[in-house]
Amino acid sequence: MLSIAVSWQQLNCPPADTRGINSHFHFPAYLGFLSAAVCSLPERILGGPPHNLHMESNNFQHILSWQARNDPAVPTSYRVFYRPRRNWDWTSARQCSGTAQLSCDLTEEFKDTSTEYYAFVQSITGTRVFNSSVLRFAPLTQTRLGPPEVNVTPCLNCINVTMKLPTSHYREKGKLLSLIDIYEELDYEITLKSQDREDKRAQEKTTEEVFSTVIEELYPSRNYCVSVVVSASLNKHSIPSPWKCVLSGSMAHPGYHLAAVAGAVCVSLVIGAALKSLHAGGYFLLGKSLPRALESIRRWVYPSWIFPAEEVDSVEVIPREVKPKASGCSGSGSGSDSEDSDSSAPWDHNYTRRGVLGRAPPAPGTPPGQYSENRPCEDSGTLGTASTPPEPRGSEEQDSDLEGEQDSGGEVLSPFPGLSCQCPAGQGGSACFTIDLQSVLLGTLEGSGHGPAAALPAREHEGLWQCDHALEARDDPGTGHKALGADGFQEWQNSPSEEESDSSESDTEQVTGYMRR
Amino acid sequence: MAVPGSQQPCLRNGTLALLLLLTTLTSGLPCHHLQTLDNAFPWEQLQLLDHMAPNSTHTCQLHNPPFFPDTLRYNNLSPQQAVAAALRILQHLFHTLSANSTSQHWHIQPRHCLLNQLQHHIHRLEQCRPDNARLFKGPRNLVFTMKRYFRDIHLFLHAHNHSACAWEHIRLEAITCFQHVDTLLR
Repeated sequence: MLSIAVSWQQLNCPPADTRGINSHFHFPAYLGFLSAAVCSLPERILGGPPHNLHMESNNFQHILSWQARNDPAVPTSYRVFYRPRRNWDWTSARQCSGTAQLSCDLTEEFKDTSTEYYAFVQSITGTRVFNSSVLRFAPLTQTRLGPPEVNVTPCLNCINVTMKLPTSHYREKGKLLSLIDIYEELDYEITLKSQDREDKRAQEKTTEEVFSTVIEELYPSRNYCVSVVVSASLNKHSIPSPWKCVLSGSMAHPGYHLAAVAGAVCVSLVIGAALKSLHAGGYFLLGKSLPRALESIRRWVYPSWIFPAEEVDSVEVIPREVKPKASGCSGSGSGSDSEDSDSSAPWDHNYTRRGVLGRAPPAPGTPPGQYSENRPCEDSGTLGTASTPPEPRGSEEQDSDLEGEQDSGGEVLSPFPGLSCQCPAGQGGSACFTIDLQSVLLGTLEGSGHGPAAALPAREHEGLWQCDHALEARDDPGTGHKALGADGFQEWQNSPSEEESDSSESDTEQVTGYMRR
Repeated sequence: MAVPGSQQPCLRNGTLALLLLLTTLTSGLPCHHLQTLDNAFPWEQLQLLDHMAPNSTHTCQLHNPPFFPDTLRYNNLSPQQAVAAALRILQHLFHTLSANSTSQHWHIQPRHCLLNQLQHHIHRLEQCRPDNARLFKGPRNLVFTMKRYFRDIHLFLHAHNHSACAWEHIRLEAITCFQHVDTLLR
């Protein structure tokens, strides 16, 4: 444009210096220059043939597109011509005659699928007509097939892939034909993608428009994606389907449920049987209380426990002389033995000798502290213990019983019915009583050589009773052998001060032979 | 005492029977792979034909060019007849495309590949049908039509001095022939 303007300016405005001499010489030059400039103008200004013809064909829908060379501002019309290979005459596409668009649908024009077609585009710009190059196109071998419709459903360790062929745009005698009608047989290939790999399955054939296949031997509950490609033996141009993903089936086999339930039931039964056997064997949940001895130990450990008060009845004390009975007692003194042997009064009819449950009689010569059953003490006033509940004979009778204690060493009362009393050496035998120790005044025995002021063993062992006399059970026809019971035993509260204060009184009472409450 | 010569006819008959049996078995074995071979064969041949002359636009016009007969395109044949017909077509094509004059107009490499694959496929079909000439007992007009078609091709090439334009037309006819062979072998 600039060169043209300059040329026109030079023609209209000749130079002043050379106006007279060179005007005849420069004019032809200018004219030639102007012609060359005009001829060298870009084609887009004057127009040109269409170029870059491209056939976009999908499932026998053929769209021809091209590019123009002329200026869009310059109006241009186009015409599309085509012919089959066998025909030499060109046919103009009816839908694309005189169109201003840069594309043309030739689906209805290509009626023969087996033959090859030729097409070109003609552009008309004003009076200038340009023809493009010829495009060759074979619908049967060059149209792109697909994508198929894919539907994926899960199953047990597998996925079911259902495919549907795309709709064909080809018509024969007005009837729309399918791809199976055209190709008779198609191939499809499934690409399976999982989280870490992508596999192409073997190509298979189909003669149906809707078909399915099952991909088995998959991992359960895993995401699988599927893409399908459809092709023909003569046409491998395909459009793959988009990825379709699904979780593979994870339903447990019905048999798995039964096996799991059966296994759980068996395990439960085994555990229940084991627990039952343990319970029967007494390893837990015994439901039994502790023995009295252990119970007392526990109470000794926790002296702050509040023990229930014992129900006490008022009684009349009748003093009476209690003769010691002769009884076998380990470690008893000789003197006391004789005295004991003279005793004929059944002392035990005044009180009940408490026997030791479950205790085997100790062997002769066994150390004190061991139990002995059915062995009344020899030289000690047998200290009967009332069976539970204590016999309402009166405390005086009990005290008289206590007086029969020959052995020194003090009167030792066992607060633990379960413990045996074994006569210490030289002190004669004695028996254990179950009495309310809260009201018992203890003192030394008469025959023991100890004065009334003799210290009681309780003094020596503050807060702790020790039974060192064998506990002997005697068959008492009156009372019978009474077993020790935990309910007959009363807890008592250890009070060293009371013991000391009561010791003098107990000494006095010892003379009378009974214990004062 | 047995005569040694009397045993020879029995042995000979048994040998012949065994040979016939083996021949039948061996002739049938390659046919198992014919399906897979046919699936890839037409497409590859078509691609090679396109690669031999990619820039051709077929702008030249010649008189009376031969075209693939419609009677051969739309005809119902038995499987055996279809295989025999396909074999005959391929044999004619190989004979036509292997002419020396084709090397002047087409690319050499695709042409060699095309001829090699064509020969291999013909060999496989011949093993499946050893005696093609006798077994192709199709309709009389069908056989006549096929022969006439390929004769016209040779006459056409000769009439136009095996020019590029003539060979271009024959190349396109070969595409049509491969498409029809694919239909016959399905």
